[in-house]
Amino acid sequence: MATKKTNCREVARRLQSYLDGELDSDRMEQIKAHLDACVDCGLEYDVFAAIKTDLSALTAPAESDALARLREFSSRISEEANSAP
Amino acid sequence: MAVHEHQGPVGQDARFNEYVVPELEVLYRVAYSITRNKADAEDLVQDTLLRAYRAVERFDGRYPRAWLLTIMRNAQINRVRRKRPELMHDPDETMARMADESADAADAETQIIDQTLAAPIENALNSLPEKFRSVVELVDINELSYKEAADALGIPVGTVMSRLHRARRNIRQHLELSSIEDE
Ligand SMILES: [Zn+2]
Repeated sequence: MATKKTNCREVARRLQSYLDGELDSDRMEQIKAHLDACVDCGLEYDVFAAIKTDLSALTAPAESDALARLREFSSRISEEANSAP
Repeated sequence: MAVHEHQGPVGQDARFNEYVVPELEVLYRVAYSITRNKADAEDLVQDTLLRAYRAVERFDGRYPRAWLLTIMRNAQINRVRRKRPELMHDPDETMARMADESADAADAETQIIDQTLAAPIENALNSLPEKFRSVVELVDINELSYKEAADALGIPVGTVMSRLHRARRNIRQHLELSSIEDE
């Protein structure tokens, strides 16, 4: 049985932080227990989890040309630092 | 003489390679989220690298990413100040405005592609005001922690949270509306 102590309102308030793994482990477990047991909160979580998953799939392909140039710049950083104003 | 207190170029280079180089990709992505322009992003990262190189001997080695994001944030403020001295009263506001301006050209160009190819989630993201969108990009796309995003944007962690949460609710709403329109 999920704890009645962790009520729906409190879960709603912490849901986003839970989703981002930004709570301490005790709190993470309490909320997980509630989400497993409470259909409403569980659905709410599923919606935001799906949004987060879709967003993370948008990863802009890191521009390889720019990164290559920046790596090159890094490899001669001491010269760059000496010549820069 | 203070010469011996310095680690010299070798130690400096080694520390730079250890703490800074592994974060290059994250730095570039964050710079792009902040500037919304590829050339500006690259410039900003170069600027950040130079600053980091000069400061790396004094860096205590803890949380290199947070340290670098703070440096990047300061570098960006400096760049904005150089370009638009009159707008410097509120750096946060100024950065948002700068980003908006540089975004205009890129937006016009990409919007045509977006409209045909972009997934609904991308449209939802692009519909957000800049200050909300950048938080989502940093946390959800670039996978920064709340603290790191706060450092990069120069805002409190609580503000990151409230913007992020509001942004996600907006995205959700946008998705629900667009799925109704499609039917
Ligand atoms: Zn509940």
